[in-house]
Amino acid sequence: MPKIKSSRSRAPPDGFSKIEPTLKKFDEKLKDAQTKALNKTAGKTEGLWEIFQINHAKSRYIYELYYKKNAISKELYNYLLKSRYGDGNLIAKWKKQGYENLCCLKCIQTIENNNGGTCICRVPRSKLEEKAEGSKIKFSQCVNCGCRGCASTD
Amino acid sequence: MRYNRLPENWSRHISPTGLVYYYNKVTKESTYDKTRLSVSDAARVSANSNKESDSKHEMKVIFKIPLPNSIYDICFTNNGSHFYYERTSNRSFWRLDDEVVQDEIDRFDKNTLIWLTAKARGLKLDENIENQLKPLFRSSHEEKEENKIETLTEDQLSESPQLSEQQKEGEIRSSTLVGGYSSSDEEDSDNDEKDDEFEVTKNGSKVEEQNLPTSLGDISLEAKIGHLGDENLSLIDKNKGVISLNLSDSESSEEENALDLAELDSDEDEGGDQEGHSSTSPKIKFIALLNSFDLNPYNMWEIESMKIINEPEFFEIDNNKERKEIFDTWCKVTIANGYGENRKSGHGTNTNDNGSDNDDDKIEYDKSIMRFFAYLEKKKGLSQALPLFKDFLDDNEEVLTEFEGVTAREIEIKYKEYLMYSKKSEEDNIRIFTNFIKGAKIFRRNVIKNKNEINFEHFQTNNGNEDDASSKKLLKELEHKIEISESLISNTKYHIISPALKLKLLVDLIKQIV
Repeated sequence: MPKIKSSRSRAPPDGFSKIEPTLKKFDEKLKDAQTKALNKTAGKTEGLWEIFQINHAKSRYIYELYYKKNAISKELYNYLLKSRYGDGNLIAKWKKQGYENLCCLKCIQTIENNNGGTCICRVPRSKLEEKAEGSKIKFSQCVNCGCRGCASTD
Repeated sequence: MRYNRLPENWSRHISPTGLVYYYNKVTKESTYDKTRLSVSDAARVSANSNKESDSKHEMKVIFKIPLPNSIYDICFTNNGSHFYYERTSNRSFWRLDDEVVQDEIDRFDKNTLIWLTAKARGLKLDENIENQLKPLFRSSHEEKEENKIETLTEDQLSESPQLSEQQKEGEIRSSTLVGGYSSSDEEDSDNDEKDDEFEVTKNGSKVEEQNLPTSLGDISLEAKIGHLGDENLSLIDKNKGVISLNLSDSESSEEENALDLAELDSDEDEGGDQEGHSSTSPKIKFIALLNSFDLNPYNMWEIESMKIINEPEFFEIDNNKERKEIFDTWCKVTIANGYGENRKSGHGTNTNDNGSDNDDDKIEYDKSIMRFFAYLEKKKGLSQALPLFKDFLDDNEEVLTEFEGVTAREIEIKYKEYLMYSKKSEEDNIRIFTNFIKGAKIFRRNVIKNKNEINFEHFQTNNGNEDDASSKKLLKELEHKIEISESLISNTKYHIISPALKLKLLVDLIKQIV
């Protein structure tokens, strides 16, 4: 969620207008997801999944604009992170080996887990298959953010 | 009766020269020759209108399979729909209520039909599946040899009841036989199975790619399968991995071939930093697809891909990850080539417009407020029609963003002043302008300072009758020479008369001073 703009806030750097429509779309989606999460009567966690996913997608978009497509300047990139269009901490993780596809920060927080490990979505698919030994893998979506598996080898 | 009544959609008009001519409101054709009207029958009209509306989504028959015990063939088109073709009468139907046909189709495996649909849409299939499908094609091949039924042309297609795209889609969904590989309920039921299948598909296709000869000539041949599916290229050959053209057609299509090749070549150059040689043919095709659509490289792949997902070339690349990678590289190249700048300078779509825009830029003023006045000048008629600033803004939203450094308030004031002066007569404006210049001491001072540099003959004009562009150029030169002050040129009074007239008056005034 970006910072609220006021008359005193700094004007965005050049090139912001090109990516603004996409960012706005994300904002709209987020608003929808938020209202849905509030109204949802079903499970406690499912409502939040969409919000996590939008956060991921938006950060990914900014990350790719800067690192993969070279489409935006350093200045604009910093501005986007500073005004919280993207999640800087999450992007920082993507730069590390093994975390290239990380879904959300909650999934690698070991403190919240009973056994002191990471979320199940971090386990590579091949290992899950090994463990299942031919029977069907039970895991479909993780409880934190609804991720279906974000190990780098997948 | 024929004498008086015109065919459908045609109307009779009289041209300015007094001759009678005929106009077709659908195809937008007009002709003097009445005999030509009958040629444009309903079929052609509908074919034309189809082409206009979505030439990209033209339907083509990819292959057809005869149903042995009936008089019908089942034909698959490149968008995944299918219809029935009656061999004896050359007619085709989207739907048939024939029990024999139903029985025939029921004998097919459901999966086979799904695969056939998928194949028609351009999806690569696993080799095992291809092998399973081969017998079907073989029989159809023989059929073709003896019977020589050509695949449907568009005229024939239009004979069949025309359904809108949506209706067709709906029909396919609802029919129990061909569910289409994208139907949602199926994906849910055997999700895991699907995953496996996809991996296999990937492997299979890789093998196929290695088998394919990689010289460019062959690539283009393969590319041609995409658009010439309805000509004499037979799909059976593709299955065998050998691509052959029917000899009778090869000559005429050779030229197209060359064109395709050139296109592909250039595309390869553009995306040069990808792996150059190994299995580039699907990649090149995919990049060509990206180029042919107006995609926004600043947008996300997930959104942009929706624009091209219906194209057969889209499925040349098997998995989404690869597609996304190619898209990212494409974006990189496009942005590096100055995608944004092209957009900004070229208001019009065609290149001629761009050229003239650039010419204008040269004459245009550097300061934003000056550019605003130039802009107003361009839209003179418009500003008179819109007395309220608000209306003007509604019509010209770009005004607020285009002139950096000028606030909305300033623009409003200038616009109102400009409007006020533009309502006055030209003589009044000339008087106001001369008085304004005469009253400005700084103008006098500057002219005296720079009087040696002014070459009057150079600025001599034909009483303001010169064309706009050249007089603008001269005017700017003159302004530069006499170092006209900013306070003068940012005043609205300076801009109330046309450039040619302004030039003439300025020269006269300078002469007086000197």
